[in-house]
Amino acid sequence: MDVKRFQEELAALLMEERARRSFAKDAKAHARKAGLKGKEARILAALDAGDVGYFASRREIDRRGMLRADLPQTCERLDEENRVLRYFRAHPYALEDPLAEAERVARWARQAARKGQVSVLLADTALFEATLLRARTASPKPARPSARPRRAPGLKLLRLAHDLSDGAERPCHVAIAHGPHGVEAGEVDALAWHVLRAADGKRTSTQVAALAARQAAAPASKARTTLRRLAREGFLAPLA
Amino acid sequence: MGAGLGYRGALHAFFRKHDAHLGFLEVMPEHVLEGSVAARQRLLHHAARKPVVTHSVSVSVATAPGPDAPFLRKMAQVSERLDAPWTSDHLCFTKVGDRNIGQLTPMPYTRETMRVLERNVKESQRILGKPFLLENISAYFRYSGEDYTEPEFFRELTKRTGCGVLLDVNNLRNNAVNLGVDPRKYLDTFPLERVVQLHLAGSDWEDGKLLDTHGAPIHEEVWAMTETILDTAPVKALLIERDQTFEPLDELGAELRRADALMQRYR
Repeated sequence: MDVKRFQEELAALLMEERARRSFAKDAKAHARKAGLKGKEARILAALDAGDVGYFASRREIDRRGMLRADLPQTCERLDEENRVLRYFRAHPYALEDPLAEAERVARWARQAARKGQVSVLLADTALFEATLLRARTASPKPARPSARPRRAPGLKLLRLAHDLSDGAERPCHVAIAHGPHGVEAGEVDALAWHVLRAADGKRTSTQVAALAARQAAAPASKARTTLRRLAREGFLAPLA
Repeated sequence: MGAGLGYRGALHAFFRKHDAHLGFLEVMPEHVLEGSVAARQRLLHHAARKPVVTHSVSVSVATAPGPDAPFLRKMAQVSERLDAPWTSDHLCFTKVGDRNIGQLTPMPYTRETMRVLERNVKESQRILGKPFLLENISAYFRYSGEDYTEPEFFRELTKRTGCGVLLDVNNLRNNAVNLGVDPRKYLDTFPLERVVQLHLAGSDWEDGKLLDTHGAPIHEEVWAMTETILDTAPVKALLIERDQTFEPLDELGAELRRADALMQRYR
């Protein structure tokens, strides 16, 4: 028995739709046409075409199924753009750590979008879902009251090119935070986003408000109101 | 080594909480080789406190021209870095030429594949420089006209190469349900004296087959078979594999405590 020839033919059967169709039609003829002889031809031809088809269909499903559980919208868009196999080819070794795999998909999608291989909407979706997954598995320390505006622990900010609720192309600022009911994600307006970006604990609240107002081109008083609202909603550590 | 869990980044906090029942961790070299620097640091933090064994899916030990030697060399480095007492992979092939099948693919148990395996396992042992264990897989299809049954093949291969065995009890149950393998007959012939480590996991039903998803609680049949195996086999490590659906973590914690208690009883 030529083990190498046998494995090549089995791999073809598992990876090529055309080979499976020919095998299902007449397994013995398929083995003969493939140049298998004797024992290897007998063993291959005796395989159950249904079982082989099932096994072949599972090839990508194992990884796809795991991805789908963690990144459902991303997988939907990958299917729409017919790019799942491109990702699997780029990374043939699966990572069993769901977080690591999800983050790798997001990184890959960003690079692929830059090269024009996938849409920016797909890259945005992958980044959002991977960040959400990371937030859900993390357990940040409770926020301690602070004299200066400081982001709530675990808060993540994303600037996306699309509104993911309807897929429309428009700049969208998203905050992901640990709220009283678990991890919550929502769009924040440009001013709130700048306030959260500026609130790093090293500036006074007045400076944060002024900085955010300048960046968002809003009056400083509006920025101060936003600052208080964000603190009340838990996006900032409670102001002491 | 007692009871352990597969190292997964998402379980970082869980490991700390259940430290008392966690005898060891099993690390996939693929994660170390492809993971981020932060992920490696987290892993090394745990590895410094617990014994670690390495377990991979990428050696493709049954590939006819030879196993994936570049990967084996990387795996050897990772195992050395983590000071793993042994390392393991599956009795199957995943690569043919430049093709990656993407699944643990069973090969027919014939005299010819035995010769391929004998050569490849010896080559793997030489590169790894550590004890090398082979694991039985969930097959999903079976061959006919073979020269050996799976347990006979394991027996002969371990005799020829001196390699150890990682017996996946859940894979045995999956093959019993999906392919009609008789677990009692299987274990009667299996080289239990060569079993160093056990894998326990949960499966999910899909399309009328029991799939090795590592995403469900361990079935009672698997626990029962584990006790039968522990009666005879010199098992050093009992590992729970969980790769998805981690919640509720209390359930996973209870499984770890049960595995730990089993190993205490049979130690």
